Amino acid sequence: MINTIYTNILQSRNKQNVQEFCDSFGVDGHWVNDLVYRIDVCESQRIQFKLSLSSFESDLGSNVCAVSGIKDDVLMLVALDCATRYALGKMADLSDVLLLCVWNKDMSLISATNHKLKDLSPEIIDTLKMYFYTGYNAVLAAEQLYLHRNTFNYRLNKFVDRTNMDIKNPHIAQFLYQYFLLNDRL
Amino acid sequence: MATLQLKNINKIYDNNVQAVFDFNLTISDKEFIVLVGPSGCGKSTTLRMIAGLEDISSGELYINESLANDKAPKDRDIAMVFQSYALYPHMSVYENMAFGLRLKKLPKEEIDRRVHESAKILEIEQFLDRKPKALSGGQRQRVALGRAIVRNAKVFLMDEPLSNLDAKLRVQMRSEIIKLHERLGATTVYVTHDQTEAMTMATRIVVMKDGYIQQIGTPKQIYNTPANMFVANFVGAPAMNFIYGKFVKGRFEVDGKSFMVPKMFHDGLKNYEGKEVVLGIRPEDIHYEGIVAETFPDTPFDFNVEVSELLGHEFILHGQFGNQKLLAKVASRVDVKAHDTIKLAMDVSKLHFFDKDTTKTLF
Repeated sequence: MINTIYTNILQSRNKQNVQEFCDSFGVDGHWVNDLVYRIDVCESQRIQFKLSLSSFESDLGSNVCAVSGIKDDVLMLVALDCATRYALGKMADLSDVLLLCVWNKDMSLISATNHKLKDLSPEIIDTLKMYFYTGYNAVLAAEQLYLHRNTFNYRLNKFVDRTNMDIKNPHIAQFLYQYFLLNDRL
Repeated sequence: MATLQLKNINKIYDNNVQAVFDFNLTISDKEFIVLVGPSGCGKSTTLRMIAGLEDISSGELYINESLANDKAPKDRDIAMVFQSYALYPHMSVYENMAFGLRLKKLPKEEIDRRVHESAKILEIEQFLDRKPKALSGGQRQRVALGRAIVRNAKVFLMDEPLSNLDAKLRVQMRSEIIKLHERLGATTVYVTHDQTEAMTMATRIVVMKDGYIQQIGTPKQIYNTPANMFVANFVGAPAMNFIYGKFVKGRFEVDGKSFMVPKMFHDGLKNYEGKEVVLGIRPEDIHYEGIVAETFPDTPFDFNVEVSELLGHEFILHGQFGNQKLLAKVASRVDVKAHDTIKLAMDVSKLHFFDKDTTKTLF
């Protein structure tokens, strides 16, 4: 299970140190822009990164902010921007940032997610929602939608292919579940 | 030498939520200050503001009498220790301790000297080549302390450093931190929600609730003269008993029972004649020894034991005084079982009185 962590270094003088810190946890390190560094990590590296970040801030003598989520620069830069406002000095998951945004009446992450999912057919969205509402029970969800299990799986896979959002990753699934729930209400 | 002064500090987040209200505290050199309070009371936020990792919305922070509000964290000469150890998992103990110094671009020999010196103090020299996962919880916590010590900082900030340890280890590490503080003499601000840690480690305790300071004082002052019902309830285990009753003609009346209030309290209570007040008495100030009953002949009362908890050297007895819940902590020399009725007496010299509405202590 791969997570992508985006780190906002806030001050460019920290560039080298942040890159060294991030690279020691993950692979495929890449500067998205002048201040944001991206790495791919497995689940254990994700949690280690999260726990080490406060020490790193203290060693660095400067704030940093990170968000763990998917490999999508557009959506994640919006999330990182929000996290820098509401969760400075922490590594937040995409789902954490979504809740913090709503709490702060900030719709930017919801809008960015709307934009990302806008071209998906209603069938795929309904399939996904039912999957969440049944507690990730594919058999029950397919039954509720009067779909063959294979058709149901096909639609789920299509969602993953198109969005790069792995719904088997519990952090991503939680984010999407919260997004659908909030988006239907707001 | 490091002094800290926090003057009228407020922390208001972007969403207008205020986490800290008008925080005023002067910390002398070498003091061990403990910020204590329930979750969400603003103690960690205060600590992060001192470290410079959180902006100060208004107010002034002085470190060694120079204004530090806009000083970068790296220039504050402060070291932090965190609850989760926050060690770098892929680095050895040596590298973990050296990392912060390396970022400061200190010469290799200096880093080496400091790491070995700190490792010696903490008795972790033999683990310097190990990775954190090969260490026990206590050893990891020592490394986390070592990461702070190597920086030779003037101020140590500790954010619940013992919360991840089991009860036995916590007691051991508590005394090690006290010894370390005596040895290094660094001014320390320690955050915890554990009142035992606060009482045993602090030179002064700051009790916080909902972003406000409730009381600042030595552990003894906090325990003996709590400023309000929150502090009285928060410090002490089991918590202080509160009995709602009336002060009438020198006596405290509750649910048909009454006893004489010692003269020493009468002045403080003179404005409350005939009014409802809250009496506070700690469970350990309720006794069943005859000597207490003889000293305070007016206070013995029959106590119907509902639950009796044996802690080894003492019992915690649950029951009622009038219709109100009362806990007593008595020595376990005599066996007390549930449903027994025993005679208890209050040490009335240890009474506390609070205003029912403001919850503040009356004197």
